[in-house]
Amino acid sequence: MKLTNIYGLFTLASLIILLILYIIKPVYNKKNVSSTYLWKQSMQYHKKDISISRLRNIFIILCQVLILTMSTLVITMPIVYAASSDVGESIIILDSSASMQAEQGGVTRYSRAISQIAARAEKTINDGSIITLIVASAEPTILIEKNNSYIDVSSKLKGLDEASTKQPALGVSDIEESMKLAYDLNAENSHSTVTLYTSSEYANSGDVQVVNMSLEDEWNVGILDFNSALYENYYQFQANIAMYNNTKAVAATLKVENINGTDTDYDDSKNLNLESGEQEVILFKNTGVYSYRKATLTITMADGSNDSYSYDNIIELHNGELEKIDILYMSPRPNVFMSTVLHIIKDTYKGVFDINITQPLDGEGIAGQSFDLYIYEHSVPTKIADDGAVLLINPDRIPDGLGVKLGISKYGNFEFSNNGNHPILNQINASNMQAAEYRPIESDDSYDKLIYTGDNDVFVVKSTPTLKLGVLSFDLNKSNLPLLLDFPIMMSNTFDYFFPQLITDNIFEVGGSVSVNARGSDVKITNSDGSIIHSSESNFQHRFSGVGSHTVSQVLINGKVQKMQFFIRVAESESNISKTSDSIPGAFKLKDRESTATDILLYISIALYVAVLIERLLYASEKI
Amino acid sequence: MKNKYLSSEFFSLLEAQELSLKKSLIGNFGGKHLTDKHGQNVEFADFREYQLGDDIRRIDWNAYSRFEKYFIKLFNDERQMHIKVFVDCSASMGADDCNKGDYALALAASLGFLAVNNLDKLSINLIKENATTNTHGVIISKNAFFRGISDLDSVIFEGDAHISEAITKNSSMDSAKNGLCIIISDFMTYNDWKKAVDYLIYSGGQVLIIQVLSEAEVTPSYFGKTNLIDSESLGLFDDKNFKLKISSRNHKSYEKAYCAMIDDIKSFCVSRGAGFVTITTNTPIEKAIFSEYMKAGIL
Repeated sequence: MKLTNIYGLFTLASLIILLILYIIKPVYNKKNVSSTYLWKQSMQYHKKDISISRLRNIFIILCQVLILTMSTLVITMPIVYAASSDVGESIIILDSSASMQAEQGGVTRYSRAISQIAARAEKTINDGSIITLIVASAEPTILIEKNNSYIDVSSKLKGLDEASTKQPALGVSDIEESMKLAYDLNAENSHSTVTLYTSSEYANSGDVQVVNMSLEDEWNVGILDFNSALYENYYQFQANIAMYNNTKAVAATLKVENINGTDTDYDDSKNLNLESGEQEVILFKNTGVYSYRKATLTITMADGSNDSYSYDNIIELHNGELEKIDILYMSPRPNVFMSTVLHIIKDTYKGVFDINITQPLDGEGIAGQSFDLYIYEHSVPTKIADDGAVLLINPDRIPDGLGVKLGISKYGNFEFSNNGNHPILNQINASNMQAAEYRPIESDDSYDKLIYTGDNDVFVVKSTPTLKLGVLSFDLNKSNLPLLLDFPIMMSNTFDYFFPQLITDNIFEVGGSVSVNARGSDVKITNSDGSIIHSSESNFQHRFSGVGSHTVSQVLINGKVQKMQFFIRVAESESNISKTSDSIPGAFKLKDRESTATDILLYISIALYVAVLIERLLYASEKI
Repeated sequence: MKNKYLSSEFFSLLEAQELSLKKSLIGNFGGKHLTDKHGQNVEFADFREYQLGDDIRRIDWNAYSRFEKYFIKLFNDERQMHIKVFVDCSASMGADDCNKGDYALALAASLGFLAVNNLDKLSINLIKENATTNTHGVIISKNAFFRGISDLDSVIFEGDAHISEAITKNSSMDSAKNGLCIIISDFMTYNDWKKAVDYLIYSGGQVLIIQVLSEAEVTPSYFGKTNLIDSESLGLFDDKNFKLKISSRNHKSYEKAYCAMIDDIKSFCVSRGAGFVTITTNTPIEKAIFSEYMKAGIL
């Protein structure tokens, strides 16, 4: 406890006054009574209570002394230090971002940091303190918590170094979240210090001790961005190359494989001189490439030297051919609205799918052909195709064994409603739809009921790896649906539902989550060497920890295997291995002994109040 | 009369009342109190065989005709009693914080009126120190009574009152058997007043003890450090005075002492056949007379 106002102790002098008051004989009020006879007689009954009275008097004096003492304490404004461990604690945050993998002399910053942390841990533990290590990755974790065993700490650090050697951490680090963890630990132990081992320079690190693991002679040249774009029907390739901490002549080499649907490659290179901190955009144009499977950009130093950070020296672009989607629209009374919508879909997904629409007059012309999406309107064949998704619009019949049946036609003016939140109903308001005729659909529980009127469903869908079927049980010609904006949206949603994009991009960053939206089965991601990284029978997300090309594949309903390639690269921000920042994200002020002190004024005031209350009660009990 | 308790209305209430005294009292001729003595009155008491010397006019000839023996009728005699009122005139009765003195004089006056109203003799004796003072002699008539009580206003309550010594030395005690002796005091004294009662009882008289207390004496309401000054003390350092830190426990002890005092007086009076009445001054005097006197059996 510390008294913040030491002069308040002078109040204790009032104790002397209190003592004087007790020493001086108290003034007795003079009271004239007719006779003191009874009072004197009463004393013989009162004598036996004298001990209690004396005890009460002692308590009253004690209370009064307490009141004065506590009044003194109130004036001196005491504070007590929060209960905290007397043991010092070194909270270490190890930045495990990709830039920490910059190496010099075959040793990465990460390894050097681990070595320094080990040395620090040994000294700290020998000093009687404890060690806490937070590994600042994309999802920071506390690897070592309040450990005072150097053997344990050393063992874990060694494991961390070995893991890094085997699989370098090439993601980004969430320093802010790491700081939050450190803040909580600091709140528990005010004797703790926080040290951040990182590769960045911070202009203002506050109370956090920053150990910059970068070395002066480390340098890096990296590809910050690489992309291709069609220009006058031919691809141009553009790259953004940056140099950090050095000046070098750099050669950027482009290799485009399987161009224009052949086995031919396209090669090109550009030389450029980059100074430290300089970025340069290079453009490979007039390539004559209108299609390609893979484009690789590699940068090398003209003098043959190697930079300290090699993970950003190569980037691959996987383009490949667009996936073909064959759509069959068969109707005895072709609907112009349906045809229009299909062409809108084709146009919309031009860059994603190569959609081919077939609209035969009869089934003979398509005998033996396989489609990805079969749309039957009015007339449904006795056996529907099982090698693609099927959409039945106002079907006259539904083959048996599909788990869905049609009821008898109903006539009138029917209004429809949405049933739940299905992806197909996204942005759809079924209450706008009306029909003069429909057939109720009876379907089993495996179907999603999307639109209904009264107690009857009019639009149901089912999507499994073996059956993808949608049934819309009213005639578009006897409905206002084709006139509504909801119609193309609903058809587009249905297309999305049946044909989701397997992956949405062909390049991702390390540590980022890649979503795989499968419509088939046996979905798997394989490495460039063919080893399976992840496999599943349905959609999944995968987080990659290393750079390189990967392939995601699925077996479609028609038995075909669809494959897509993509590249995992380090984050652009990690290429700058000598970056400086103003302040540490989430940095906080360390708690010191003063700030962890608790103001106990309230408690003393309460005690003072209680003491006064007790004193008054004891005093009053004499009279009552 | 200045006494606030006494008025003509008050005395008119007493007109119809009379003191109820023991029949064993001897009394004097001429009064209205029936006694167990036989005399020339109209109230039949008993028959007795004629004896030589009896007045032959009192022979009951009807009884002779039936029993052929001479019987004479006996009648209860009516006597005049002497009511002696002793009023404690010590300083404690006249203390400023109470009006016990006035109240005591009013009680004395009311008893006196009851006496003279029934043709009894009355003497009011003021006890001061160890003597009694009877300034009006024996009062017989109402006129003398009213003259006498008008002088009671000038009574000064001071000093001590030794009840035993004063009463035992009273020269008229030989006639105590002729009536009722009433002692009015607060009886909060260290003196042995019980000797006076024993003396009066021994003399053959009827004794009534009236204790007059103020409300403050029954239930004192003061607390804290108090220097209690006795009104009869001779100075600030008199032994009767003392300092006391009065608490609720003191009050409880005081209450116990008060109850013990009342019980002591009551048991003493019962043992001696004396009447005992304790009255607080906040009791209306009419209630004191018509309630407390009746409880004591003297009204």
